Amino acid sequence: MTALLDAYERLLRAIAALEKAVGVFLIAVIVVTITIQVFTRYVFDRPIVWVEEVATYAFIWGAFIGAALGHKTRRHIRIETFVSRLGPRGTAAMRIAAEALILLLCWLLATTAWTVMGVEARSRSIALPVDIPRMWFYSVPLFFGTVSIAIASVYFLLREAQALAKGGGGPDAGGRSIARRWACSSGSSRLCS
Amino acid sequence: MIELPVGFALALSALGVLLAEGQIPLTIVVQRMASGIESFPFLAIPLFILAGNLMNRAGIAARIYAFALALVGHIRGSLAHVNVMASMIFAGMSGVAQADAAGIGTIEIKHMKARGFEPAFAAAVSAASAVIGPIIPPSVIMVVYAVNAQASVADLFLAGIVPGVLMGLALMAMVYWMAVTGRIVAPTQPWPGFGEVRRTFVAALPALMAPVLLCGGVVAGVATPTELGAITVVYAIALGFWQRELTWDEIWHAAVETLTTYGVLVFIIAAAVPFGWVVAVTEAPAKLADFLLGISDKKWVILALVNVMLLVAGCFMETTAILLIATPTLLPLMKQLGVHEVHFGLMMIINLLIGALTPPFGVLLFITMDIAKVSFAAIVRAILPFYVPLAFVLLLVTYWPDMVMFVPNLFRD
Repeated sequence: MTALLDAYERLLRAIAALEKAVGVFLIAVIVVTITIQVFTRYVFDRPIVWVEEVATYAFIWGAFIGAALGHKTRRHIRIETFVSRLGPRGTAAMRIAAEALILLLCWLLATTAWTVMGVEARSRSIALPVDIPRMWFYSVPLFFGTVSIAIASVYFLLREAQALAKGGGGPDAGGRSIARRWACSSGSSRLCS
Repeated sequence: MIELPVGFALALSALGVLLAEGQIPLTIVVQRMASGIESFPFLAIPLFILAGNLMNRAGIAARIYAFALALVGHIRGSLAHVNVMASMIFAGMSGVAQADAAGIGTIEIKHMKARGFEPAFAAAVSAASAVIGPIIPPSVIMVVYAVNAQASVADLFLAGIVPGVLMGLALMAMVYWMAVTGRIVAPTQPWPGFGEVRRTFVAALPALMAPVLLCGGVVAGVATPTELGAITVVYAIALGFWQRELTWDEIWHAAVETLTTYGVLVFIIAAAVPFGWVVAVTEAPAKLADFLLGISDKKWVILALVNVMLLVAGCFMETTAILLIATPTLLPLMKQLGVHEVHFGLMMIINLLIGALTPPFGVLLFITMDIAKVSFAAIVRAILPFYVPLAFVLLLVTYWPDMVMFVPNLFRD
């Protein structure tokens, strides 16, 4: 079981590394395109119409990738005050319930996004010089984001279940300690102590 | 209370209600979730967050701290004043309170502890002064409100300047009173002389130019807040390289941090979209208006009730989530009462930021208690006196609309 979960963790780390690279690239795209927009408007007095659209689509993709990455490094804001008073077993049980609910939501969103893709495939972007179906900017990033969140949630759920089987292990047992370690290695020093 | 993240809880409950109601197909709701965040002003969110992260990493926060130390370090209350002052200046280039608490807050708490201040008090002052961050422009939460209430981002930014500075002065007044009456241990620094003030000012000047650039740009209308966000990022990177305090590695980390911070925030915004449908389906705004108007038809009573409701909600929920639910629910009533959307926005934002300082769910307290390594009970005790100046500013903003609207009106035609 532990060996299997360790392999799973390596997979998650690979996904997280990919998400970081793509996400940072998208942020760079936003900064560069908008700067170009200001520049072209004032220097050449001729704004490029599709620049704004490129930046907006990079923003949407970046948001869903960031949300998925944030789930892996436990950056989503949670209310933890009460859970910590439940004791190790109670904490682990509550976390399992939370991950199960997240999985339910991801399943709802991902399946619906899948259906929506069919509808959106027919409408096109407005200003871009290349012809791309709209779904690539709406339902596809939503689908990818929720699937990525679900993959991480399954892992956290299994880790918590393992901790529960061992009798629980305090507030930092299970998925959280791993998320904390990742957050530290990703350079957000606030979570490291 | 299970440990379910805010955004997920919001989306799950809203989708549950809509499924039960059965009036609106889920496909339309989900379609709107992605298209709902497609808004050009929203692009300012990652840009402001990135600019703040870069400034933190480029040693700009340290320069601002040194300037504030030279300026107010000799006043009774010493480093606690420096703390508030540095946060006020830093507010001019950072748009989220969390970044202020975690960024310049780390420097402030470290220095205060080293000079013999109580750690819990240091953490409390840093958390309270971080609230100023999103009130003085730029501000991420103002952008979120502006898009939802269809208000002008520029007007909100301008409206935030006076209350933000006032809040800083009110906090400093409280620190002074606590120091004079011996309620806190506050070793005072010697007056360094005007030479030192000038030296630190010159060192901090390029950083101090950023908010001037930004506000000036918004006022003059030369660029949208989003574009100014991008220009500020480019400025921060250029400044960091020029002063040799920024490396590619630091930029990478700042960008990764930005990615998760804004992803989490935008996820909450997307999750609140189905909630908007719930609000519409259940006719909540009309019912709430009837309820409030049933208690009293006087404007000041209703404003007081709304403030109390928001404060209570702020104790238990995350700031952005409340903002997104409260705006469509309350704005129609406010317009009916003749409250300007910019005035209401500022009142609500200040109120909800105070909510980020109240237990049991006070994000800013969690951040600074982690940095200062104090217990939750200790920081809650230490923060109590600071509710007085913050509540005072909230009252002023609520009942003195001219103070809020003065600056934006100044620049309107």
